[in-house]
Amino acid sequence: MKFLGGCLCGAVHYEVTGSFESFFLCHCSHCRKDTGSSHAANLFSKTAELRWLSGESQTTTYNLPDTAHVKSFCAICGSAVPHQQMNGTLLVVPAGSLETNAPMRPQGHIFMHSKANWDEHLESIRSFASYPDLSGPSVQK
Amino acid sequence: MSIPPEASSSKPRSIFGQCLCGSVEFEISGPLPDFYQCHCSLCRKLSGSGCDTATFLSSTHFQWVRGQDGVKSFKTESGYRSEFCERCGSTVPHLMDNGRQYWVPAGLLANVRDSRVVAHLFVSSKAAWDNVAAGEASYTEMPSMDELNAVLHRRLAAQRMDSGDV
Repeated sequence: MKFLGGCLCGAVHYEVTGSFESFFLCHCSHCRKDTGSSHAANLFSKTAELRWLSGESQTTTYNLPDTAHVKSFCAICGSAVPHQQMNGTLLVVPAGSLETNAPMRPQGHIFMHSKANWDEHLESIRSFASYPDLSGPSVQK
Repeated sequence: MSIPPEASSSKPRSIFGQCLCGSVEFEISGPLPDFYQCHCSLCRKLSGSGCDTATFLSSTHFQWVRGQDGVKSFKTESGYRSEFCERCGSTVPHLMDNGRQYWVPAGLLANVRDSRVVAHLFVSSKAAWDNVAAGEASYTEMPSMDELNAVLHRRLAAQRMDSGDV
């Protein structure tokens, strides 16, 4: 299968050919800082091939010292883009960067022991029906 | 009436935030509002994840500690902004176009106490694999900024009323 993806500003585009073995949502502190959010969402493959269609020279790769944590991003807009780990043997693709649908659902939440203290029951937050000033058409009932 | 110490304290404990590499650091001196998660395609591309997690707070409560000169800025034609550490790529805070508030990404904050995610935005354009469900505190698109600000600051406003500090 072929998957297409790119960054926010459009400078970086890529194509992945092959299949992914896993898809994890990682809540560790590195991934929280990396994304600015509650967790990263990455697809992993040991066999798929990454081809940059444009903007490879615009990508910056940062390896957090003394860790295996790597982040690649577009130097123009800061968007997360794919990178290789483990001496190029493991392809890591940020799911949010895909322009093609991901081929699978996440298989699990990982590093939950170090998740943020506000990262609780995010899928069951109370309904806005209790906020009388939020009954406009944009509220999903 | 019993008042929680954090609600009655005139000087809340500072909250610090830092990018992945530590080059950029900032301090929040006032009470921290709650968070929203935005699932739109722009926020997904920027974070590489299913959504961002962030809040807005008064610029009087925000201070850079270091690294501001290493922040790169990008803005789309529609006005969507990305400020990030040029070294490690972490998204970092920015002064919003209203000039009064800072946008602050929750994932960078070290010692959050009471803040929680209270709103999901743009669930109509979420990723197919994202299991944020209808019936939550969710908007199909974007509420007005006034409305969203009210939601994010609701808990703090209630605390101020409880303590008589209004």
